[in-house]
Amino acid sequence: MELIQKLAILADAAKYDASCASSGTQKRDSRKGLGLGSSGGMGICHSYTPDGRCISLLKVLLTNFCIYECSYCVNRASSNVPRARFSIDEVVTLTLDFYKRNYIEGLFLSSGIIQSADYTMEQLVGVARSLRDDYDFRGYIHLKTIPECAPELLQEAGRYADRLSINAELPSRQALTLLAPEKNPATIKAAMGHTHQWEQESKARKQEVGKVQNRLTKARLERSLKREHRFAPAGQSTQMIIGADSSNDAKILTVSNKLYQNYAMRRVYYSAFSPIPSRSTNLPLAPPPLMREHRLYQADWLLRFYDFSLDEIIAPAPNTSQQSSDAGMLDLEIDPKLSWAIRNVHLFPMDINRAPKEMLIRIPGIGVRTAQKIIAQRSVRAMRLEDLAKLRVALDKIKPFIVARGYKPEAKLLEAEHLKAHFIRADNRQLSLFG
Amino acid sequence: MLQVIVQNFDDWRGAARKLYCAKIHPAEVTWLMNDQLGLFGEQDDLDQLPAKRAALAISEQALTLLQDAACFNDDERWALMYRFLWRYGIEGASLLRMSADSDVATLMRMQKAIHRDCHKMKAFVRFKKVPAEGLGEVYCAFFKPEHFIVERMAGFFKKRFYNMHWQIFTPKGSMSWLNKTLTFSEPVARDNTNDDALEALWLTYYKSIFNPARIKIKAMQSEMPKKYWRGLPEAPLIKQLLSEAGGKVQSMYTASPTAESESRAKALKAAQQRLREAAALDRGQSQPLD
Repeated sequence: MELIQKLAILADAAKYDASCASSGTQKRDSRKGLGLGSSGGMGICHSYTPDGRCISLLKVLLTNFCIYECSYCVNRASSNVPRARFSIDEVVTLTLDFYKRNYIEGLFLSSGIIQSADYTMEQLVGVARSLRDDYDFRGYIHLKTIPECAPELLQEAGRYADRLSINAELPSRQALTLLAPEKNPATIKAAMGHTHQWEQESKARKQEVGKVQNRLTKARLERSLKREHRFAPAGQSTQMIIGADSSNDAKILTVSNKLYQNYAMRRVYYSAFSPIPSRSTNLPLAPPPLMREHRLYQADWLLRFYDFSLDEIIAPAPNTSQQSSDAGMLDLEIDPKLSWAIRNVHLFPMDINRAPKEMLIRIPGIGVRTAQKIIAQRSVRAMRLEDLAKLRVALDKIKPFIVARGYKPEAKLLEAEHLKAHFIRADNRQLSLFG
Repeated sequence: MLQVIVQNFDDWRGAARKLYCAKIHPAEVTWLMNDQLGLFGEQDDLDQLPAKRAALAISEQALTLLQDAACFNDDERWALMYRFLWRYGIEGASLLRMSADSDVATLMRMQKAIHRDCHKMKAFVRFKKVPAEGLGEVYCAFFKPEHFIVERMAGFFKKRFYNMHWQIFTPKGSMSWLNKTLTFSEPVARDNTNDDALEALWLTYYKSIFNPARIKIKAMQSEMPKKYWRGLPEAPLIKQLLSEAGGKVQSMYTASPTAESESRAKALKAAQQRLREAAALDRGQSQPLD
């Protein structure tokens, strides 16, 4: 098979992995080296496809032959999609050729399971090893690891890769048993646990070296640290498929919360189950609305960076007459922060000239950056509504929730029933932009 | 009214220092670029101005803000920067906290635009491999930045592609890294780079990684605005991908689902069981995992 055909098949097979991040790894560049590439800091998206997703990495499978039978996966054993397999050298060359043309930041490599978990994982590690050792490649490498493989292989993967990921796949054990019979929650957790432990150890070693006072000793330790490679400096991430089973948003976010806490996940990706060629009878016919995926990302963000708790994000059903299918689900019509504000209307309006930062960022329409600007500005002089416009805040959105110098919202605006209707109209206008 | 001609940040900085020390109010200065010289006559000799006060020391943050604004593609920037400096002399460092002030807000917006333009240049420069005598191969690119950012981007490309030979041509100045030497050169108006056979692989990748079952055109365009499309070999595919998407998704729904062949499933289960047992033995953990 021609390389170009293999690429078509193995990129097509990889597109259901949402992650393409290349940010947050250690700073490296190719000065003082023989090879190619640099990394560290903000990720770079080199292109975007019409599905709104970025292309930062060359995201391919080493092979889409697979002995597993996960119902949601296009590459499962019983699927009749065309199959292909790259050699290690082919992936290495493709990565370098793309990188030299500035198409990509690096490689995201994953694979179907062939022969055995260990054999497959060895192949994946082989690609990363060749890029780093044979070509001194200093760009980004993300390896999707196979939880069933031997821990030694996982450890080796982490020495070459910037990021490792192990997919949680589904939010509940029952769903996993039903839809991914070869996968096992305990094995997945064990692999995440190992990864987390090695990441922490590697980080600790680096910090220790950082504390050494003696310049010569420090330089020697730094050199030896460099030789051993940091273990996955961009940490680990995972992905859950949304809408393939009946788990509600509360369940999904509870699982993510645990994953962030227990394994210091850098990201949990939510991937709305997408119709695939050669679909399985085990799956619902219709995919969930993409808006559900979007709302989960917004809620996830609030949990991580806005100090919201799970209970605040997903309201308990107010009364039993409410349709049970809505219980534990995020509102699709408005974003979770706005939804929280409307449920907690008694906390508003908030005075932007007095509210502390942790409250400012709870005002719909004000993010962390804007809150910082408000705090700086109000230390010089109190802010008026027009001043917020200069900070490019959407006045329509925040008007009901704030008090500013010379401005108070009409009492009527803050009545809960008016409020939601007001925003659904505004939000629909926005939606049509993205439609 | 004084006329001052500037080309870049260093020119501006030198002139602004003399003007400030001579207490020349911002309203008394006209800032011009080189190409406007003929229209407006001579530059005034700033060295003749009497120094009435010491030069102004500004914070690192203020300096960075001005350096960034100096790259912004708008002739008004020099006057705005001097007005900021003048006010800084009166209002002090607290001026920087005033994001709701028109001058400060404009400068910050300029700074943000520069950061974005730099980021997009890192993303959207596309090299093409060209054979070159004596060098083996040179990677050449043509790019259209919005602002004057070529020089400040040299470091990024140098560090990333240190062991390659490369050239980047833009209408706002060009640069090359040949034999590990960085050179800046004249602007180039048009894309004269050759084709690169490897692009076929890139286009195949772009087509294959796209998921026709999720269309988000606005999300794509907000990050990859059309003004960059001319330089991107994959951009012409977008129209075709979109027009085919509906049909592709429809056929996924209408095609009958794949029945899981029983014999295959059985073989699979057996292979899986062996795998599990082997793995469990290896790690000495034979207890049931669930």
